[in-house]
Order: sequence, then structure tokens, then C-alpha cells
Amino acid sequence: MRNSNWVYHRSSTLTSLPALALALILSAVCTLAGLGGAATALMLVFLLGGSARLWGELALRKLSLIVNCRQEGVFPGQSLTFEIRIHNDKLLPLAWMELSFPLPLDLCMTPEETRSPDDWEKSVLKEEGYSAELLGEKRLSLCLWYETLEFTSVWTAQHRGIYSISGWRLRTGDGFGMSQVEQAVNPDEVRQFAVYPALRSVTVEPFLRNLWNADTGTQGVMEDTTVIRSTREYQPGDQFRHINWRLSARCQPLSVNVYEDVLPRSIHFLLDGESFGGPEPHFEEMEETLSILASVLVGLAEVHVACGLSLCRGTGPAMHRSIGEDIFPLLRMLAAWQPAPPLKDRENSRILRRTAEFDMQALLEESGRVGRFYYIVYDNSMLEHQPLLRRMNSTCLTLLTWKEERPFGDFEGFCLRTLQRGRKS
Amino acid sequence: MKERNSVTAATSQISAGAIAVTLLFLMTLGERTFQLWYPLAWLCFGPLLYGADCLFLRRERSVQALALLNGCAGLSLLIVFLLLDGWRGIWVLIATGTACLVLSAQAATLCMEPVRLSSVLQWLDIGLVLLAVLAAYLGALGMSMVWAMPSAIGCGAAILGMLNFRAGGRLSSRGWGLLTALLAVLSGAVWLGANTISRGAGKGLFFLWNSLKAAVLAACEGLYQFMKWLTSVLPTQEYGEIELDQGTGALDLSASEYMEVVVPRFVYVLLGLLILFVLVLLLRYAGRFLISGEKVKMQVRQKPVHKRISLLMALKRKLAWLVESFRLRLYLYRERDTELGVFYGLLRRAYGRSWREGAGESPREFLTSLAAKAGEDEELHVALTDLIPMVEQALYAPGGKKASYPQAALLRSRRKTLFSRRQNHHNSFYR
Repeated sequence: MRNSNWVYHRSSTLTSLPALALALILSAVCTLAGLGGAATALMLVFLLGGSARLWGELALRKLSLIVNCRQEGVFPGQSLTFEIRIHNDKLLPLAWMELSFPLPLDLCMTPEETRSPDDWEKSVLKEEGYSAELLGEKRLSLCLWYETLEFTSVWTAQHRGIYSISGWRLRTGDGFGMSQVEQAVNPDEVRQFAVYPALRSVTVEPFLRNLWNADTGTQGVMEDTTVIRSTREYQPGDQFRHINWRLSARCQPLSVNVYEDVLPRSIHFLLDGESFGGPEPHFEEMEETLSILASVLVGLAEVHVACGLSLCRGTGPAMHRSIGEDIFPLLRMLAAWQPAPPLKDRENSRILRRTAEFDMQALLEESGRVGRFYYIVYDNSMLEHQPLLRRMNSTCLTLLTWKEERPFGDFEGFCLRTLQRGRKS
Repeated sequence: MKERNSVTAATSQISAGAIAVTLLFLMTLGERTFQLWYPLAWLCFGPLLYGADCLFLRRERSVQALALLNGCAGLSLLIVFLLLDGWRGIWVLIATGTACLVLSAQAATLCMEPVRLSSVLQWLDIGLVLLAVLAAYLGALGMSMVWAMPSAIGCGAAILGMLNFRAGGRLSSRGWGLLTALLAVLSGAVWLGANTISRGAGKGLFFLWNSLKAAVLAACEGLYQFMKWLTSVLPTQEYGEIELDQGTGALDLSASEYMEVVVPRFVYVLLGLLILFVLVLLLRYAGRFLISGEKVKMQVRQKPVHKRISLLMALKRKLAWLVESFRLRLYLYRERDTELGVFYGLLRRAYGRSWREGAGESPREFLTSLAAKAGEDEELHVALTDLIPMVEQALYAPGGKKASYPQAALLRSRRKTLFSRRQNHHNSFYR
């Protein structure tokens, strides 16, 4: 846990040092003046405030918070369960504890127990970049000496986004409830959880057809080890694992298998998210595009097609993930991507259209291993100034557009929405 | 409708009532011409009205109906007070009326909106300060401290409500027990301490015993008086007598006060009519809003699993820790001048301050990184560097005679500087 903070605005004024000093001095003065009743009352105030402050100071010592979660991401509507363990490794009991969960601005995930923040909380939450609309909270009662509390907190994923537990605060204080101290989660234990884009019912046949029909060229060719075309004599430099041991066992000369050449079942998607922005933004379409793309990724993973993904620069840098079997990193990228803030013209403050910037170096390195690229864009009019398309030829790249439009150059293309089941192709 | 925290809301009402009682006592106790016991009804009125409002809102109601209910309740209480105690001046009437109004309004608010921590804190702070002021006032007047009882009850209620609020309205029986014990110990300590100071150490305990005895007797006497009052409250003639006796209070107004009341009478009438008109308009407007009659269900929450050890075991563990700590300190003190003693001292200090790079580092690595933190202090740097081979020899090739490390005193004296620098660096890491 990080260093503790004294939460003044949630503690009684009487626990502040000036108030304590004043109560003590006045008590002494009243005693000297022979005002026994007043001295007693002031002493009570001093002792109450002082003990509350002292207890509050000691409350967070040897108090540990451990958060476990087996999932790293969920789809909207699914729930995420945090297993939380709080251990009070000291003799001093804690009368109350409060685990505060600030929620992200987009409220992509919400816990079971929420409330609307107080006025003072709203300003703090806004300042720290959290939602001032809703605040997650879990309150716990008595935690005795060397006691461990274990409980679960179930969260529901609302929509696409990334949630970090860095803002979680464990609050506690004295037995009278007059003082409050808080600690944040240790930076080493901070984890992020993704809410992937919602899944839609889509067909992935167009992608598979493209792969199998592309039987010319040498780009991305690989051997299918399940289909042996023939055998030939072993030559130095042949791979050890390609030796046909069955033939060798029959005292035949050492020979190696020759496999069928197939194109890799791999697809790399390029998402031009910036094409959905500009002077007339299409954020709903963008979210729907992300959902369709996520669904396509899931569908392709089911038929064992390896996928890669490149996202243009948004609020963060451009993201690239090479071809791989695991689609969850790709879904995580889609969950995290946010469009860059609008670019304004300095002269007339008009909102300008940005050109998508990809990680070109990584893409060029990747191009040798990819069966086919798919470039996703809002409409073809955005593509004229795209430098990436100049480097890639039409034989390895297909355009996927949100709007149904005429073809762009020699590039093959089709509408993204036709992938959704129930729509006419 | 939002989830209510009934215990905290009720205690807020009690503490608000206690504050009102205290303020009225502060205003009127100096005159000593009456028995102002009737405001004690505020302590019960607030929570009772809150409970009545909660029952009232179990069905769908309009804000108008709720305002009327609370307004009538507050007004009724004010009229009862006037009947019981008669006319005691305009300021007492204003104070009494304001208290009734605040309690009624707060009861309605608490039914509609959940209680907020800031308001609970506010009631507690004000209550404790007023308790101290009232105690001083009573002491100055030489009156009995029994008058401060409502204020003390209000403070106790505010603390109970606060803890219940902090625990999310689910304070267990153990929690209530712990809190009661704490308050009892604290009150006892204060009482004993104050009496020991004022009467001498020997007489303090004796006085405590006498006070306890007197308190029990007073409680019995109070109960008897209460029963007696209950039996005498039925005949109606007594009210008439009180009204006649108390009614003369209005004539005691001084000439200046009388003038203040009489001269701008038409203004007051107009003002009254205006207020009445605004109230009627507000009530009509409030009639449009409905409060949901849905029964507020408590959220079903999973209870945390508690894993604890017995108090005896905890005390044993603490004792064992204390003994171990003492032994370690003793060892470090005895070996303070040897290389290993100095090394262990540095190690203890570093890990007590969350030495982040500590995991798995060798003594050489630890001392080297410490020497790097010495910065411009050459002497400290050299002392730490010289310590490395000596520590390694003592750890990995023991057997030789223990030799004292000449720079031990220097390292001890500058240790604080070294770790405060480290701590600053550590903090900046998080920023």
C-alpha cells in the first residue's frame, strides 16, 4: 500500500491539531478557574478527539489489501469477480473500513454497490479523471486483531473500455468514526481490466474465401505438415523434424518429407479509426465497427485463422500486434483504443480531418508473414492521402468500408455491414 | 427512492434535537424562573417523526402531503409547548419554533435522501462544542450538571450514528459492544481524571463511588417523578392554571421591547400574509411531485468471511513479537560497534522504510546502493564502501575474532541523513 493520507474533509474538525490544542488549553484554564464541569467536558472533547486521531494514525499500519481476479477482460453484459482480501496484522482492532472504487469516466464497468458522490467528492473525482456521476463503495464493519476479511466484489461490464484499479482506496479510521485515513493500492499490484467490444452475429466466410482463392504468388507461403506430397533424399540443411523415420526404420536411405504448400491462414486487420472522426464524427458507427471487427476476430479464431491487428494513433500511440493464435490481446487493443481529440485549424478553428498514422516499421516487417491485409475505413474518400496504401498493392490488401461506395483504385473492397448476419450481401 | 440508513438518520435527529435543547438552555437557564424540562421532548420528537414519515412513505405520496404532515407535527409540538410553558418572550418563541421547524424538515429530508457523512460530522462537532460551552455556563452559574445530560446524549447518539454510517449501516452486535465499552471507558477516565485533578488523587475514587451511588438514586427518583407526572397529567384544569400563571409573562416585556412589537405591526401582518401566501403556493406546487411508494429494499450483500484468532492467541502473538523485538534491539545494541551489527542496523532501518530494491539483493549490492545514495558526503561513502569486505568476511568466512568497526559511530550518526535522502527519492518515485 502507498503512504497513508489523512482525509481531513471526511474527519471531524475536533480531531485536527489546533482543535485538540485549544480543547486542552481551555480544559487547563477551566481547571485553574475552578470550573470543574467545563474542564471535564473539555477534557472529554480532548480525549475523544485525541484518541480518535491517534487510533486513525495507527489504523493503517500493517493493513494489507490483496486483490485477485482470474479474468483480464470481459464482454459487455458479463460480470467480473474480484476476490478481495484485507488482513489486519496488528492487535489494534478496526471498527470500520471502506473500500472506495472510483469509476472511469465512460463507466465501462460498475460494481454492485454504488452511490452518487457527495459534493466534495465530485470535485476530487473530476480532478483525478474519474466519473463524478457514480462512485463504487464497499463498507465493512469490525475487523479485529490479526483478522482477515475475505469477500468478493462483482462488477458488471457495461460497454467497451479499460478499467484500472489504480484509483482504489482503502479507508479506515478510529472506533468513534471521527477520523479517516486512506491508502491507495500499491503501484506494483495495479492491474487493468478490459471490456471488449460487444459481439455481433457475423459471418467470416468472405475472409476464408479470400485466403483459399489466393493460390498464386509466393508471399506468405508455408508448408502444411498434415499433407505429405512426396519424399526426397535428405540433403544437408534439411530440417531434422522433416525426416521420414518410418522409411529410415525400413533401412531405406535417409529421406525427408515434402509437404503441400499452402497459404497461411492468417489475416492482418488495419483499423483507420481516424476516418470515423473529423468535422462530422461517426462515433456510433465506430463503436459498431469495433464490435463487428471483434466478432470477426472471434469467428476467425474459431476456425483457427491467426489474426493480427494494427490500430492507428488515437489518444495513445499507434498499436500493432503481430499475427498470433491468441485473440485476447487484439480484443484488448480494441477495448483500449480511443480516437484522438479533434484537430482544429488555427486560423478559423474548424475541425480538420486527421490522416491515420500506423506503425509502418512493424507493418512492413509483418507483411512477409501475412496472408492478406484488410484495411477498415469509414468510406473510400478518406484513402486518397493514406501513404500506407501506396506501399501496399491490391493483391494483398482488401478494403472494408462502413459506407457502401465505389471501389478505390484496383483494391478489392466490400462493405463491413454485410458481414452481419441477416443483412443482404 | 434511495436506500435509507435508519439508525444514522434517527441518531441525527436525536443529536439535532439535543443541540436545540442545549441552545435553548443556554438562552434561558440564566433567568432561573422556570422548569424547562419540556424541550427534552425534542430528543424523542425527531426520531419519532422520522419513523412516522418512513411509515407514511410506504405508499406513494405527494411532497405536499409529506410537508403537511411534518408541518402539522411541528406546529402541534410548538402549540403543546406554548400551552405547557406559556409565553416566555418572542426570542424563546422564535427559538422553539425554529427548532420544531428544523426537526420536522430534517425528518422529511432524511426520508427522501440518504443521510450524508458531512451532516453527521457537523452534528457531532456542534454537539461536542455546545456540550463544553454548556458545561462552562452551568459551572459559572453554579447549577447542576444534570442540565448537560441532553447534550451528552446527543453527542453519544451522533457517535453511534457516525460509526453505524461508516460501517454501512450494518454494525454487528460485537461492534456495538465495542463502541459502548469504549465510550464507557472514555467517560469513566474523563470523570475520574477531572475529579482527581480537582479533588486530589485520594478523593477521586471516593468521589466516583459517591457519584455512582448518587446517579443510581437520582435515576430511581427520576423514574418515580416520571410515574407521578404521568398520573397527574390527565386532569385538564392544571393546564388552565399554568396558562393563567404563565400568561402574565407577556406583561414583563420592557417598554422598548413592547415598542418594537407594536410600532411595525402592519408590516408584520403584511409579512405574515406574504409568508402564508408563499407557503400556500409552495404547497400547491409540491402537490405535483410524487414520492415513490415503493418499499425500499436493502441490497442483498454478500457478507465477508472473517478469519480470526482468539484474543488470548493475539495477545500471545503480540507478546512474542515484543520479546523478539526486544531481543533484536538488545543484540543490535550489543553489537553496535561490530561490522555485522552496523550492517544489520542499516538493513533494519532500510527495510523499515520500504526499501524497494531489497528483494534478493546481496549484502554487497545493498551496501553499494546505499553508498551511491551518500552522494556528495565522501566520508559516508568511504565508510560504507570499506564496510563491504568486512561484512562479507564476517558473513561468508566467519570464525575470526570479532573486531570493532572504527567507522560505526560515524555511520550511526549520519544514518538519518542517508535514509531521509532515500525516502525523498522513494516518494518522488510515485509522483
